[in-house]
Formats: sequence, C-alpha cells, structure tokens
Amino acid sequence: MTLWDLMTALCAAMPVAGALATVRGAQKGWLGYGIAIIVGVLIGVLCAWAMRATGTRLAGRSGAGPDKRRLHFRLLYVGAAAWIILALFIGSWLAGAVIHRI
Amino acid sequence: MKTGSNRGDSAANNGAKQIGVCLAKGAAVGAVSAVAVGALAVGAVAVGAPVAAVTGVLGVLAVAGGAALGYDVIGQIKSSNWAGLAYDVGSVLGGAAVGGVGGRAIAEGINGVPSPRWSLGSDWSLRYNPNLGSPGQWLGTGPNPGSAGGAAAAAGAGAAQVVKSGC
Repeated sequence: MTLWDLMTALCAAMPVAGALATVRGAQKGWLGYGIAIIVGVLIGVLCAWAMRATGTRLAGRSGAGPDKRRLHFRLLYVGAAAWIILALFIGSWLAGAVIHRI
Repeated sequence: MKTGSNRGDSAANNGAKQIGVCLAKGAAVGAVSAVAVGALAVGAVAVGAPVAAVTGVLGVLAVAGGAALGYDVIGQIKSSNWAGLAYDVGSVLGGAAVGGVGGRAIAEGINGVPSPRWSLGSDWSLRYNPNLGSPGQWLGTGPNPGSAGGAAAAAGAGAAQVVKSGC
C-alpha cells in the first residue's frame, strides 16, 4: 500500500462524508441520507478517477534530473491533497443542492 | 436548525484564545491517537496477525478516520464553530507530525524488514497496479513508510473526534 493509494481512497470517501454532513439537520429523513450517499459515492468515484488519471498524465512529464523530479512529485502530491479537501466540499455542496430540491 | 444554545456555544468558542487552546488540544490528541494506531498495528503483527490483514485494517481505519474528520469539518463550518475547526486542523497536524516521524518505524514493524529509501517518486512508482496481482497480494506487500505514516495520521485525526469536548 502506497501513500498515493491511500490518498486515492481518501479522495473517494471525502465526498460521501461531505454529503452526509450536509444532510444532517436537513430533516429529509432516510430519503435524504440515501440521496446523499448516492451523490457522495458518485462524486467520490469521479474525484478518485480524476486524481488517478491526472497523476498518471502529470507523472509522465516529470522530466530529467533528480531535483526537477522531486519538485514535480512534491507538487503532484500537494495538489492531490488539495484536491481531496476540495472533493469534501464538492460532495457537500452538490448533496446540498440536490437535497434542497426534494 | 441552529438553536439558541448552539449559537451561544459557538460564540463562546470563537475567541482567539479558545481557538488556540483547541488547536493545541487537537494536535496533542491527534498525535497520541496516531501513536496508538501505529502501536496497535505493529502489535497485531507481533502477535501473529497476517501482514495483509493488518495493512487492510490500517487502510480502512485511515479512510474511516479521514471521513469522520471531513464530516466534522463540514459540521463545524456550518455552525461557524471556529474553535471546533481549529481542533480538527490541530488533530491533522498532530497526527501528521507523528506519521512523518514514525511512518518508517510503523512500516518496518508491520513488514518485519527494513524499508527501502522512500520518496514521493518511489511511492508513485509502486502504486497499485491490477496487472501485477490481486488486491490481497498487493495488501500482503504491506505499507511503505509514507502510507504507514499517512494511515496513522488519518486514523489518529479521526479518532481524535471521539474526545472533542469543549471545542
């Protein structure tokens, strides 16, 4: 298990957490929770896929030289961490938008 | 809907001093929790648990911990409880400090062999590849220093949510 794999799994889980946190207190009952989980899982799969695909594309351009390569991967992992945090808010915002329509 | 009592709690929780106290408290609890998670994982292997199972459980705990943290972060932002958010940030920092310092020890304790030199580049090149084997075989390779530290940090930050009173 690598840090990148762990970050991918976190990226998939964060939108679900964000969606569930948004539905809490919205008084939409089990339907609300069900919709939040569906929205969260969909966004989570998309975010994890996007992170992995972007990583694959960017890692191929890491260039020559150890210093350049180190900086490249540092930026890649920091960007992935920022993306994970963003995924949390995307899940929360989208779940909120869907739930307020029901 | 926010109650009057909650509004009062939030107001009381949003002073600069309280935010600082909660940040420090979160860092301490996150660090202690991360140490506990790492020690439990290493201890489980020492008493005979398979490396694949311990690695899998560590990964699940990390994801659950990260999700619990994310859930709480959204709740704290929605209720404008900045001290509570500071506690969350502190728990991540504390867990990350322990994970950064102790990740190699956790990985080597689980794998039972010294870990090779770790870098973000080497981490990337060893990421999961379904063409190289099943997920069970992949988990059997154990964590590397980065993932062991990251898992302890995330699980520790999540566990810190359990003892969040006062923030």
